[in-house]
Amino acid sequence: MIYADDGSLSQEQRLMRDSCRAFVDDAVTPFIRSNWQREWDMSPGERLPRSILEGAETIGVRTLGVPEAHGGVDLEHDTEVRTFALISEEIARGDSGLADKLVQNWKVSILLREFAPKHLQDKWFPRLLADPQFLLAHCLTEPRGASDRWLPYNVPEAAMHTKAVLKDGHWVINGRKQFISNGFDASLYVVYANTDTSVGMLQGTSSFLVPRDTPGLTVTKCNETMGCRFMNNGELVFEDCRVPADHLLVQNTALGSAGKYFRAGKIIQAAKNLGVGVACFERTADYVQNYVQGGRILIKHQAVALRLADMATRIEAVRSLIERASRAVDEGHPDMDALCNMAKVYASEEIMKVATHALELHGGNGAMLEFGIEKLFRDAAIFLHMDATVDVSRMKIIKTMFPATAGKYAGPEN
Amino acid sequence: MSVLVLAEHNGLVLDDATARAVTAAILVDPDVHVLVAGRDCGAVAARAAMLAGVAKVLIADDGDLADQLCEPLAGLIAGLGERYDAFVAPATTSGKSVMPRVAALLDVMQISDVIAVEAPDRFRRPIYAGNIIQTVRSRDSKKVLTIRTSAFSPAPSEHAKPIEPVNFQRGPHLSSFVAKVMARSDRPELTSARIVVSGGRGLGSAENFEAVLAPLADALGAALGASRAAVDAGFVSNDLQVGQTGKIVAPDLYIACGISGAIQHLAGMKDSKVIVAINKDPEAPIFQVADYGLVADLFEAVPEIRAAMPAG
Amino acid sequence: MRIMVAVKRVVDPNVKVRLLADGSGIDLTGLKMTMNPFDEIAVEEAVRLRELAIASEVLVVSIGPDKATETLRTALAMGADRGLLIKTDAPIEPLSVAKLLRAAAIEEKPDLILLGKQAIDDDCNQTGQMLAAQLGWAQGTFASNLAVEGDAVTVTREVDGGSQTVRLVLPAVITVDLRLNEPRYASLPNIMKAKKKPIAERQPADYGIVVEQRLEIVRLEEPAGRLAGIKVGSATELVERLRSEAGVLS
Repeated sequence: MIYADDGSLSQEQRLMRDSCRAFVDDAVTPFIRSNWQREWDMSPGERLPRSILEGAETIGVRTLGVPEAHGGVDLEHDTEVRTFALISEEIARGDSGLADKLVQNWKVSILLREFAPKHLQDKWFPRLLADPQFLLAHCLTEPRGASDRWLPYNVPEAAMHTKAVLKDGHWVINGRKQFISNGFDASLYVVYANTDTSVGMLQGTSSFLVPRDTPGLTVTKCNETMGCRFMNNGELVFEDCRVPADHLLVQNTALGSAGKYFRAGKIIQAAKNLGVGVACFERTADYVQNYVQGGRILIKHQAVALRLADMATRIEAVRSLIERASRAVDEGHPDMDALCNMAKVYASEEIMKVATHALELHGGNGAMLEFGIEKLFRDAAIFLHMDATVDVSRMKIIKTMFPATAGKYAGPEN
Repeated sequence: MSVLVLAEHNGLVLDDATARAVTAAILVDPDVHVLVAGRDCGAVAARAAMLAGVAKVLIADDGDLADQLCEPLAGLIAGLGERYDAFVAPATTSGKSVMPRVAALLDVMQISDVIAVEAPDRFRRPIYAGNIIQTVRSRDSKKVLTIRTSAFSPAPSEHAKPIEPVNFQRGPHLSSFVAKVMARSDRPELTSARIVVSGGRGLGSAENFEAVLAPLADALGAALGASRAAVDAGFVSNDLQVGQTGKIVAPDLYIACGISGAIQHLAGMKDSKVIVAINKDPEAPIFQVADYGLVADLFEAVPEIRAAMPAG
Repeated sequence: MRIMVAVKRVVDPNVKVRLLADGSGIDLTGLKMTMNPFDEIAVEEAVRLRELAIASEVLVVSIGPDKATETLRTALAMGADRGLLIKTDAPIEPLSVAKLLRAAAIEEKPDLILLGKQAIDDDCNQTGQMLAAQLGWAQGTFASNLAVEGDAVTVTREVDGGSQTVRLVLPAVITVDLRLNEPRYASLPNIMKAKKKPIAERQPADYGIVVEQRLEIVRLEEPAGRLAGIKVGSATELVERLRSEAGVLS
C-alpha cells in the first residue's frame, strides 16, 4: 500500500524506482529535514546546494529524454510516461521543487530531441550532460494569459504577446515571460512566441531555442513562491533578442506539436503531487505511531486512525487514476487527453486534503517550520494551479469529452 | 564426548570472552576443554586452566599459529574433530572468522551468535538485527557455535586443571600476517565495560567528544561508544561504533547522549541493564527504550551530570 | 584477473520485519526487497577494480528464486559484466550456499571471490569463510581495504579493538565490511544498459548438489520490547535516581 504496486512494473522500472528512492532517502530528505532554513534564503542561487544536483547526477535523473546517441538514456517507449511518473513521484517524495527542476530538463530535452536540427543537438546535449548544474526551461506563460489561453478563444486577439519576427536571417523576439519553472537558473530556454498575428494561437505560435547569454534576453527576477521553493521560478524579458534562423524549432504550430509532451507533462505533474502526498503519509504514519497522547500512541485514538485511513484512501485513488492515465498516454488511447487532465486536477485536490490531514494530525508541530510538515502543505498547495488551474483543467476535460459541443466553443487543442 | 572452546587471547592475556564461552559450552556438555593456540602462550593456557568448569586445556604451540590466522587455526581445530561433539568460540571477530571455516571442514552448519543454549542441540539466536529471535535445532552430529559474549556471564576462577600439548600439522601458507594496529585507550574495552557512555551526531564534532563526553566517561570509569552517525561524521574511529554493524554491548548502565536511536543502534545496546537517554528532541526514538530520559541539551546536561557525581 | 561476487536478495534494512500472526515465519508480504547492503559494497569494490583495469571481468552470482535476477540486474547496472542465477525456491543455509558457490567457482575459475561479511536477514556471517574452506583458499574477513599486488592481495581487516592487515595468496575469498567503500547507485541509464547484459541460469542439480537443511527452525519470536521508562527533570535528579533507584552508580 501507499507505494506503487510492484506487480504492474517492469524490472527496469522497479530498479529505477529503487535507485531514486535510495538517492532521496540518503541525500534529499536528510538535507531538507536538517536545513529547513535554507528554503527561506532569499538569495535563490544559494538555496539548493550544488551537491544536491550533483547527487541527482549519480542516478542519471537529470538527463532523461536525451537520446542514447548523445549519452542519454532511451526509456522503453511503450511505457515511457509511466516511467516518468514513477521517477518524478519518487523525487518529489523528497522535494517537489527538486523534482520540478529535473522534470523541466526532461521536457525541454524531448523538444530538443524531436524538433531541433542535428547541429544544435550536437551542440547542446553535450553541454547539458557535462554540467550537473545545467538546467533547461520552457517559457510559455506570459503576464497576460497562461492556461486560460488554452480554453477557448482560438482567435487572433488571444494570441501570445511575445512576438518573433524574421529579419536578416535572425528571429527577433520581443516580449515578457513570467512564472517560468527553472526560469531563474536555466542555461537554455525554449521560448514560445507569436509569428502570425492574423490567425489563432494554435496556428500562429512558434517555438525557439534561446541560450541564456543571448543579447536582449534578461532574467529580471526570481519569483518567491509559497511552496516548491527549491525550484527557482523566474521572469524573463526579451528586447530585440536575436537568435539565428535555425533556432526555430516549430513554426506556427508549436503548441500543437508540443502536445505530445503536454500529456506526459500532466501525468508528471500529478505524479510529483502524489509524491508529496506519499511523504505526508509516511511522516504522519510514523508520527502517530510514536507520539503518545493520553497514555497511548496517537494511532490508538480512533479519530486519528480514521484520518489516516482517509489519507491512505485518497492516495490510493490518485495513484490508480495516474496509473490508468499514464497507460492511456503510453498506448495512445482515445481518452488520454481527458484522463491526463483528470489525473492532474484530481491529484491536486486530493493531495491537498491529504496534506491538511497531515498538518492537523501533527497538532502544534504541524505548524512549526522546523518540523517540515507545513512545507509539505505549502508544496501541495502549489499544485492547485501549477501547469493549469483546477478550473481550467476541468474545462479541458469537458472540452475533450464533448468535442462537438463544449469542444466547438473551446476549440481543439491539436 | 566433550566440548572444545577456542580461547581468545593476544598471546599474553586471556580475553574475558573465553570465560563467557566456557559458560555457554558447559550448557552443551559439562566436559569442557579449552584450546589455546599460538606461540609461547603458556601464561594464557595457565589462566584458561583456572576457569571453573574447564576439565582440561590443550595448548598448540607453533610459529604458524602466532598470528591467529584462520587457515592454520581452522585446520588445527577441524583436525581435533574426531574427539569432540561441539566446538564453541566467542562471537568476536576472530571467532567469527575461524569457526565457519571449521564448520565447513567438518561439513556441518555453524550456529552464529548464540544467546541461549536451550538443549545440547537447541539454541536461540537473533536474526534481522535482533528484531526476531530464532530457536534452531541442529541436525548435525557435531555442533559448531559462536556465542554472543554479552549473553553469558564469565565462568569464575578455581583451582587449575591440567594442560596438555596438542600436535599441530602445518599446512600450506595461504596467508601471512602483515600488521596490527590496536586503538590505544586507557578506558575499559567497549564490549566488556560495566558502564558505557555513548555519543551521537548531536555531539557535533570530534573535539566535543573529547571535551564533553570523555570527562564523564572517565569519571564513571566507563567505556566510550558512538552511534554510526557519529562514526560516519568522523567524530570518532569506527571501533567505538555500537550497533548492528558495530559492537553489541550489554553493560549495567548505558548512557546515550545526542543519539536519536536508529534501529541499527538499538540492536547494539538494547540489552543493557539500565539505559539513560539525553537528547534535546523529545520525540527521539531512543526515549522509547530508555529507563531514564532527560530532554535537554547534552552540552549542558553532561557537565551537570559530571558535577552531580560524588567527588572522586 | 577475474572476480566473482556473490549477492543476496534480502528485506530492505530500513524495513522493520514482523512475524506472521501464527509465528510460523517472517511476514514478507509486500516488503521492499533489496541487495544485501554488504554485498553492494562487494560489487562496488569489484567494479572499481574493473575500472582500474586490475580485473578483466566481474561475474555476479545469486542463489534464490526467480526474483533474485533483479538483484543480479542491479549489480549489472552498477557495472558487473554478467550474472549467474542458481535457482532454488527452497530456504537455503550458508553451508549449501557455500557449496553452490564453490561449484560455480570451479567452473568459472575466478581469482578472487568477494562477498558481504554477512546477510542482514539471517545475520549468519559464515558463507565466505565456508566457501574459502571448501575451496582450500585463503580468506580475509571484515575487509576495510584491499590492494591487489601480483599474485597476492593485501587486506586490512576490521578486528575487535583495531585493525589487522594480512596478505593472502590468490585465489582468495574476501568478505567485506561497511567501511571498504561507498557503493554507487545503479543509475537510470545503466539500468537500461544492464538489460542487455547476460544472466545465465542453473539449478543446484546441475552441479550435483542437493540443498539440505541442517538446522530446523523450532520457533521464531519477537523479543520482549523494552518499555519506555520515565523522563527526569534534571541532571541532578538523574544522578540521584541512578544511585538510589537503579543502583548502578556507587
